[in-house]
Amino acid sequence: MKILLAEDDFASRKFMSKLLGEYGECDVTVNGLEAVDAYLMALEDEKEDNYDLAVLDIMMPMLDGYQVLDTIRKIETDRSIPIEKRIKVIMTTALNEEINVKKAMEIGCDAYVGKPVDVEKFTVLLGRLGFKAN
Amino acid sequence: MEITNLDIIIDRIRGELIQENTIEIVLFFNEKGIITECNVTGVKKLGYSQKEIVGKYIGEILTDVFSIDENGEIAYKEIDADDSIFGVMYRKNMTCFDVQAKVASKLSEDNVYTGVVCAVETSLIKSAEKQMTIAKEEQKRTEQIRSEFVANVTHELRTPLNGIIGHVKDLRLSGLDDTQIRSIEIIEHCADNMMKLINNILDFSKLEAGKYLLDEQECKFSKFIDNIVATHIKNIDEKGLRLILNVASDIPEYIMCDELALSRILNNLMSNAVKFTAVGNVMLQIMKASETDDYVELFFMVIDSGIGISDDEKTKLFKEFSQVDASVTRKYGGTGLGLSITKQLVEMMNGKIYVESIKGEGSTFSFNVILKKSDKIGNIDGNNFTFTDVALQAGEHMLEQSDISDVCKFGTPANISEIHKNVEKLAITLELNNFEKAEMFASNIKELVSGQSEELDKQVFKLILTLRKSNYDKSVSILDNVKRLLSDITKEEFR
Repeated sequence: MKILLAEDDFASRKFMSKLLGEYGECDVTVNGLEAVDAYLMALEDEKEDNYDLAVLDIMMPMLDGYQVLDTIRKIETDRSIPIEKRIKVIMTTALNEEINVKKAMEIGCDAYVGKPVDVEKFTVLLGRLGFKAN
Repeated sequence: MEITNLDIIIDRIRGELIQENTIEIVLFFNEKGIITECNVTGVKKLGYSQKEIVGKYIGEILTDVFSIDENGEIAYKEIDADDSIFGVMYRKNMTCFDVQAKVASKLSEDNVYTGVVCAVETSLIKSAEKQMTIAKEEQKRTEQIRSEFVANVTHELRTPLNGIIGHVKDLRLSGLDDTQIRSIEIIEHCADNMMKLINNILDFSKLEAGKYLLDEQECKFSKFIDNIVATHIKNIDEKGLRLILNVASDIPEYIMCDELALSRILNNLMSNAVKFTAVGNVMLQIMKASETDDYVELFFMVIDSGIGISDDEKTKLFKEFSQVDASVTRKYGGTGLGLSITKQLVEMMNGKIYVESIKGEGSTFSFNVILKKSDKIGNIDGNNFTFTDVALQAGEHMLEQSDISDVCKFGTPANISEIHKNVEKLAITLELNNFEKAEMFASNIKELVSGQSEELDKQVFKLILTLRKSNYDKSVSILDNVKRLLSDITKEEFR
C-alpha cells in the first residue's frame, strides 16, 4: 500500500509519518505543491504504483490542502479513473470548525480528522476506509 | 470669499433645520431682529410652537446680545464669529437656561440680510464633556486591564511550559534509546518555540503600553558582537551558509547601551537572515555613522542572499502579526511579531530601521542607533573576537551587497560549485546516518537545480522523498537507493 502525506509542521510530520509507516510505504511531502508533484510523478511513472491514500493538512504553504485535493480530483476526472480506483483522502487540520469540514467534503475528501490527531480514532477511521496495519 | 463661505455654512444649517435630533438651537432672523425660521430643537426647547416663534424679536429670547440702533436695525455687541457667546435664553414661560452660542450674519447681493444664531445648552455641553471623560477613563482602564491580562496570561502560560522544558531536559539524560531521544528533541524544540512566542507577545504588549524601559549599562562592544555571532554561527554552519562579519575599526570599544534590547534587534535580524537564506552568505556589517563628545551613532547592516521581499510585501513588513505572506509563517515559522518589536526597539534608541530587497536575490536590513559613550576610551579590540573570519576594517572599505548576492544568482559558475558543495555535504551526512541534515542539503540542491532540466528536478525530488522515508525506516535498500540517485544526479551535473 502506498500513502502520500502532506504536512508542513515538522513535529506533526514526524508523528504522522511514523503512524502511517505502519500501514505501508509513506511518501512525505512538506507543502501542497510537493504533494501534487509526488501524486503526478507516481501517476505518470508506469513502473510505480499509484497512491492508495493521501493524508493532507489544510493549512500549508504554496498550495493548501483544499487546492491539492481539488487538483487531484480534477486529474482523476480528466483521466477517467474509475471511482473504486480513486485515491482515498483524509484531511487533517487544527481548523475544526464545521465549515471547514463541509468545504473539504464538498471538494471530495473521504474523511476529516481534527488536530491533535487521536491515534485510536485515526486507526478506527483507517480501518473503516479499508486499510489495515501491516 | 468670506461671504461664499458663510453662504455654504448657512445653507448647511438650513439643511439641518428639519432634523429632529440635533442638540443645537438654530434661529434665523432678518435685519430688524425678527425671527424668520427656527429648527425643531429650538421649538421644543423654547416652548413655542413653530407659528408663534416666527415673528418674535430675537432679543426677547437671547437677551444681552443684541441691541437696536437708531435706524431700528439689529446690531450685536460682539460680532466676532469665531468666539462663542455665553448668554441666557428665555423660554416662552419666562424660565431661562444658559447657552453657548455663535452668531453670524450676511448681506446678499440684492441686499437681503440674514442673521443666524446657533446655540447649545451649556448643561448639554457639560454632560457631553463628562461623558467624554468617562469614556476616556473607561478606555484607559480597558487598556490597563488588557495589558495586565496579557502579562498574566503569558505568565500563566510560561509556568507550565517551564515545567515541561525542565522535565524534558531531565528525561533526556535518563538513558533513553535513540527513538525516544529523537521524540524528546522534538518536544524540546516545540517547547522552546512556544517559549519564544510567549516572550515575544509579552515584550510586544510591554512596548505597546510604553512600559518597556531601556537599561543602559557599560558594554564591551567587541565582546557583545562576538556573543551575537556565537548565537548564530551554529545555524549558519548547519545550513551550509557563510558568515561575513565586517566591523569598522573606529568604533569605540566601550559604549553605554541596553545590551538585551540591542541583542534582541540583532538576533532577530540575524535569525531572519539565516532562516530565509538557503544558499550563499549572511553578512553583518557595523559602521560608525557619526560621533560627538557624548554620543556615538552606529550603523548596522544585516545582508543576506535569501528569498528577498517584494515591494508590496515591504509595506506590510513592520506591522504586528504580519509576515509577508501567511504561507511564509507556515514554511518558516514565527509569530510575525519579531520585526514589529525590532522596529519599536530601534526607535526607542533614537534610530530608524530600513529595508532594501530584491525578490529572489536577497535583503538588506539596516538600522542606526544613537548610543551614549562610556568614560573609558579606546577603539574596538579585535582580539576579543573568537569568530575567526572577522574582518576589522576601516569604514570606507566595506563590502557592497553585490559582492554577496552574486554568489547565489542562478546560472553563474558559482551555482554549479554550490550544487557540488551541497552534494558533497549530502554524501557526508548520509555516511553519518543523519538523514534530517541530508534532507536539508537535498532541498538546497533542489532549489539550485530547479528549472534546469525536468528530469533532474524529478530525480532530486525522488531523492528527497526517499530521504524523508529514511527518517523512520532505515532499511539498507533505501540507503542504497539514495546513493544510486545521488550518483545519478552528480553524473547529470558533470555532463
